[in-house]
Amino acid sequence: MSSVSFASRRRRAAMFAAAVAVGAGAVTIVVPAPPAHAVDYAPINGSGSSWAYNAIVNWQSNGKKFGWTVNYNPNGSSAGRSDFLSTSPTDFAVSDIPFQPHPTDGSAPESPPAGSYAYMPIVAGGTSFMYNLKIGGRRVTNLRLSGENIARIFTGKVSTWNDASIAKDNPGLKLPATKVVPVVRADGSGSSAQFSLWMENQYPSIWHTVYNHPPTGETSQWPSIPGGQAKTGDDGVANYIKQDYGDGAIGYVQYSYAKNAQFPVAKMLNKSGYYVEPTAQNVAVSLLQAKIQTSNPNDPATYLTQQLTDVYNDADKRAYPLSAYSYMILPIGRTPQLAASKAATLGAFGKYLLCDGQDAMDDLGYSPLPKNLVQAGFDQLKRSPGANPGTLDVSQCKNPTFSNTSPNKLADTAPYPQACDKQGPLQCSTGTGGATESTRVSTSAQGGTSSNGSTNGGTNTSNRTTSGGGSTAAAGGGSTASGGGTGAAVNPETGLADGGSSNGGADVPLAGPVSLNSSSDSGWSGSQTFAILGIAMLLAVFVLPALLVRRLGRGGVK
Amino acid sequence: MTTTEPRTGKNLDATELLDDGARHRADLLDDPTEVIPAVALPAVDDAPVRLRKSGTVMPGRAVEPVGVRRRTGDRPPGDSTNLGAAALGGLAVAFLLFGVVGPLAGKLGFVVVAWLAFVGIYALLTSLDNSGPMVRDRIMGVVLASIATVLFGSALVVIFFVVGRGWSAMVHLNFYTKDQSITGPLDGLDSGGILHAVLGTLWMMTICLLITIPLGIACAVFIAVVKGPGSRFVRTIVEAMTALPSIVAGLFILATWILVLGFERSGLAASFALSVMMLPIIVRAADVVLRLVPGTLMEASEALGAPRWRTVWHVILPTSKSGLATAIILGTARGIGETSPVLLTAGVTQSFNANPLNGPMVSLPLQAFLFTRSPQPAFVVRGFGTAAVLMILVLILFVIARVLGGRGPGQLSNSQRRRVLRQSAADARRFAARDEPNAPAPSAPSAPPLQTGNL
Repeated sequence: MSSVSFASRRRRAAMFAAAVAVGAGAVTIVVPAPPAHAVDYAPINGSGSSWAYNAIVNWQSNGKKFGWTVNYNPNGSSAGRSDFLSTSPTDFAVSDIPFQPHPTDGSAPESPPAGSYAYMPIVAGGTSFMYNLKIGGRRVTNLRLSGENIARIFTGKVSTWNDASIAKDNPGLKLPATKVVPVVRADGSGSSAQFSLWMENQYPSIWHTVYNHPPTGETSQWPSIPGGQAKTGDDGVANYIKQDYGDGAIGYVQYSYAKNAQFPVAKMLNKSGYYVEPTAQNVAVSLLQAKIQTSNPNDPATYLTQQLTDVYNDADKRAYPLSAYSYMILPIGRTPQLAASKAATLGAFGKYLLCDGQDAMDDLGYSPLPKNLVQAGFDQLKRSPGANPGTLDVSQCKNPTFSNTSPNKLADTAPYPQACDKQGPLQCSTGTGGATESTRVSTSAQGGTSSNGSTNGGTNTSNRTTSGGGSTAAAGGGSTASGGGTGAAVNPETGLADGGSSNGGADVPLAGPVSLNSSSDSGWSGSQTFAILGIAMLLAVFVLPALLVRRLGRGGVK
Repeated sequence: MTTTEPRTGKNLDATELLDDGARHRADLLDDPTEVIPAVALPAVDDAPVRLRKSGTVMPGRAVEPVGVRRRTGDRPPGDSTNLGAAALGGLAVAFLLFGVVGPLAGKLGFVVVAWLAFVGIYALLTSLDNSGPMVRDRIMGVVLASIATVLFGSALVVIFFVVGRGWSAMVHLNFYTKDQSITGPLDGLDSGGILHAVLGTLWMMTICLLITIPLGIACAVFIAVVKGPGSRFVRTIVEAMTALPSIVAGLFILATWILVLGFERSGLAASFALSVMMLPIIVRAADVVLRLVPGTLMEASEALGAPRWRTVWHVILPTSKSGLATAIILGTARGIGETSPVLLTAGVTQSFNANPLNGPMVSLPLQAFLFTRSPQPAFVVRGFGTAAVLMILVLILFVIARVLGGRGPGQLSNSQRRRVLRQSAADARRFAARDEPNAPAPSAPSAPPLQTGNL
């Protein structure tokens, strides 16, 4: 390692000298000084997924310290794949979906020669649903949605938030009659593709009402949705949702956009009946079920791609169903064009990102790759020319989801959902995503309280056996001197809980029936007309005398 | 400008030209309703006598004292009070409608209603003690002042919003002296910077100008001066190309230079794409400027026997230098802020790359675009800082361009004037030497220098 850093320092000095020469006005070509005794790392160029850009920027800035220069252009998965296949190919591509030999969205088919590439998983994440919803001016931060409701919302089947089936998901919220505005990606994107793959797999009948292109049913280009909005990029979707006019909007973005905008994300119902957030651990737990298709090596459409049906149907209580990962597409057998020094950079960079590089993924809003996917990644990396197969040993890999002492560290330590997150009459009040404030739920749904948070219930693995919400709810209610047992009544006029400030501690109004909505800015009633008339008359009181005086005065002079 | 019309030799006669002017003036004064013939004006003394015979009374020489000159631009008395009262009244009406009594809501509506009420009340107050034309004048004055405020204010808002959002990145010195290569999304603002993007923008603009200035001005000369075969066609094409969407320029270079010819993405490729954007703007603006050069100058030059290229080089281009500088500034302004051609052709790097021929290179707008799309707050702040640095850089470049090329024709710097004087003296000596047999040249130094600078 010391020799590498020594070499990199020499090389940086050479670059600096070259930069000075150019600064003096001469066009020079940067020629890295060949180190005497070390692996020579040439800069590598790649392009592709904008979804994975933050992770790659993080790796490239850390990799620079090891002497690897990685240039990455986040021009989108489709552009990344076509750059990889172009006449002056990039050294790697990052894509959220595999090559499309039979594209359903009208683009040109991509058919790379078999064996000229490999798919290496690099970073995982859940499709998170960021939303902006207010009840009586207070932001809702604990919305829960079943998969079916998500499918219905993003196909334009739900018109208002007080829809009966959404209310069933949220027993503690009196949802308003605000219009539901699904916000989708206007540009072709990997997140649209992953989301549509889940729709096709889980709710084909709903999905086929807006998009019916068998056999894959997967599309990077989301179809237009009645009453919906289409925005470019995750940032475009997130920016629309977080505006004031975005009330009622819900869209799919990368988790960190919601987190950094301090906005909540919807909890999604999994197969074991719990509503879970797309946290790094929940996504990693469900990706333990991810399979790699190896059935037909001659079919570029499926060979080595992700098979996520088991992820969607994972029975673990913590699993977030809509989890997926991005690939790095590695060049195989491209030795004449791919110089050995570039291949060396690619091999070292690939190993780094699968192991140490996964550490920061949680902070960046992604999820670290679990052991099975790291193993799959190593298998692919071994085929790439620059990798050193001897060093690719999963047991030597410093990945946060597993270690030597605990081979399945992630599954052992990931927190379990709270009892109030179970499907049923209870609903947690804690905030989700980037929204830290809790939302008051109606008294009948208060099983646990906000103080009985996810850290409390989660780290305790014995919770696994807790099946019903009843006992936990009683314990929660008793220990914190609040909850349903104390019998707080609802004021029939205001919809607020009597003695609300002592009930749970937080000064948040109870989400009540929303009569305010009609008087906000949506309707125009007779009283408003009269108010305008009154103001007009008030103005007339001041203005008319002035006008009359002038007119009369003029008459007097004449 | 009618100087481009073909003229007969008559116009070169100075006395005839003067006569022409006098006749023209007389034509203007010769109004049928005017009683006094123009010829009567010089003989003021005996005019009343002569005119009295014809029955018309003319004022004598003693003119009645004229009253104080009316100043039409003045504001009527009490106008400040009216303005203040109307402003208060407008605000009060808006408050009444928005919130206190009325049912309306929204900031934009508040501003619009307050402004409308302000104008209405102001018109009412002014009309109480002013005539109709004065009221109309004041209303138009208020409306125009409001429009000016909105436009100037929005320019200020753009600048202050960008600088304000990016300020916390801009106060760190490393923002200007480092690149982003070892700075990740989780690092603070005291790490990393945009030196690589500043360098990229400077390189791209240098290459673009090296391509577009010779090509653009040569093309403009062809269209405006040479008027060779097909110049009308070229002008039509250039005019059509000014409306070329920037993404098309990027795609053109991507398709030819990168995909067909197989070169890698680099600063050079981005410069090509930006040149496609800038060239029509420069040609179009330079064409207009060159057509403004007085035809008499060209005729003088050609009459002296100068060939066409010498006329262009020594007469036309120096005369229109200031305008050509403006044309180049317009083209640069178009190119320096473009993102999409660079996005397609330059590749993306976070490392310092001083070589535009090899390896990806980012420009400031592209770097700002990449930063602001990130979910990480530190990156977004850096993006606004990058945009502010771009604005400052543009300002610096334009000031330099104006200093270098902004001087009008004939305005010489001191060194230029000395050079012209030296050349005149040399010419004078040369003439003197040639004429030596006839006169031994005592008058050479006092001869007025040839005014080449005025050409």
